[in-house]
Amino acid sequence: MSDWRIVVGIVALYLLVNLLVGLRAGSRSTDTVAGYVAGDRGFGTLVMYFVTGATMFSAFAFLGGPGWTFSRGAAAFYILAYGVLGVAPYFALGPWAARLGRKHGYVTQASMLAHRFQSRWVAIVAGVVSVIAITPYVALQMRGAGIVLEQVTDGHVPLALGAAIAYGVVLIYVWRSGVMGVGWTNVLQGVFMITIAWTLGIYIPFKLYGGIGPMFQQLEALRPEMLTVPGLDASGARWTPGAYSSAIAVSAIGVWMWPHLFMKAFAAKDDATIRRTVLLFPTFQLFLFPLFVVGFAGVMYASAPDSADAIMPHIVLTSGLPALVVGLFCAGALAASMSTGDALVHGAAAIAVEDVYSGVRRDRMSQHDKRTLIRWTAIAVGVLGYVIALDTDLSLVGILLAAYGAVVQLAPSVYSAFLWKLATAPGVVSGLLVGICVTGLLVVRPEWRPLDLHEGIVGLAANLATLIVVSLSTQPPDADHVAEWYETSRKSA
Amino acid sequence: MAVGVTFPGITPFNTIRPFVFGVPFVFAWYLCWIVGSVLVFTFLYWVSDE
Repeated sequence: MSDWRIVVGIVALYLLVNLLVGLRAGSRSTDTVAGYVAGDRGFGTLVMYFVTGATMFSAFAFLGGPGWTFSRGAAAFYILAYGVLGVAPYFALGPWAARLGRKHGYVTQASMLAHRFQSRWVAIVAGVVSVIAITPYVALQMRGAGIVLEQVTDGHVPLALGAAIAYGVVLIYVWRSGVMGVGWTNVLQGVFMITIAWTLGIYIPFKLYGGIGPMFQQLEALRPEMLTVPGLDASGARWTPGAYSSAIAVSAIGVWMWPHLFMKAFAAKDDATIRRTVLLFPTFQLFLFPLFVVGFAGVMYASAPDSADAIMPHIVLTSGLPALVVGLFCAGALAASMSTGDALVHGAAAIAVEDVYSGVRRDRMSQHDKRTLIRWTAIAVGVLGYVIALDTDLSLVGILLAAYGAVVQLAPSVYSAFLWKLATAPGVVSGLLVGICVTGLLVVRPEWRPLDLHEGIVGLAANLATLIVVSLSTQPPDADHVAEWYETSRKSA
Repeated sequence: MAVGVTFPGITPFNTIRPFVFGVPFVFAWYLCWIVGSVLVFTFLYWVSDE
């Protein structure tokens, strides 16, 4: 076992650097809501690239990616497919949203929808769905950070303490610096994630099997069923093509709908920055390759961890690597967790105040008061996430799957806002509610899913059908308002 | 774009051999698809810039 004190020292140094970068970043924004939530719309390509990549790929990708290839083989390739597919619409719609944000002052996805559909209820419903979906995701990130710290220190830093320390740092720089802190720490965390992933992904197969090629040749002889799609399901049986393809579809449609990702369009400096971010994003995604290789290396490894998601720390801890490397691995895993967790906490707080609270109260707050309220709400979201993360009886993955199904339901609202002039507020709200109900029902009763399709896809179909029928049955929106909205979105700055 | 990575479009490429730089063919297919998407987005960026 590596010397846990050296590991703790490396992690402490890493957290300190994060804290300093995050705190320093705050001096670059104004004391307004746009400054705190959208960075005064000044993010350049470097920050947008790392914010998009590091936010999208969390601890679940860093630990769960190898876990999936270890336990389910090529089933994990669905992550390779959906990342690029999911970000592609951002190329066109991202600049449209950014132009509207610059003109109308949007800082969140729901505020944009509320203005387009001229209804505060759209903002309230979309905002509530967003916050409900995000909170368990925060808990998952905290739990991931806590588990890694507990494992690499051989239990000397328990899960509760590890999660509290890592997310204490996150809450301090989110409180002080808002999205500027999120953005610049994401640059640091993204570099860490990519470097550690490639280092381990190349080193481990060479150390264990003499190289990546020899490793896959041995695996082909031993477990060929793991090397072709759709891979295996959770029980070890062959996954179905329908389930594999619909997992890609629901993830690709849903990934850009995550509000904490979508709202970064309002932080971009200009249209070209968003397009360059999409262009460069696949290069970030390639860091999944070494992570998957580590998972495949685990299939033939001498021992197995208690859970598949622990395969990466298991190999790192039991293959005789120096404490320095173990510490850097731990910092990489924390980077994956924190880079998503900080954006989630910040995004949930902004949505809760900007869309839900402001929508219900309808009274005008000063910029300073609203910014202060968002800060306190970020702390509240962090504490709530921490409480959920410590509940070991809770199936976080199960909750996350349901949350993903909920977030996907925002897609018809967003796409119809941009692409269908006849969409109405009652159509959007009723579609959203029906989609969530159908998805929730199929989570509870999975045997009712047709063709083994993901429940989110079925909910999406019901959502879309409802949106169309109700929109065509209700009063059309103000044509002049919609025409102006469309003109602004399409007109290049 | 989605056709080449989902069923049934992925079927012709869903094989282990030939290995590509030591990686199973279907794994390499997905990686090439990611690299190819950079080229597609670059082309779109260039067109939209024009």
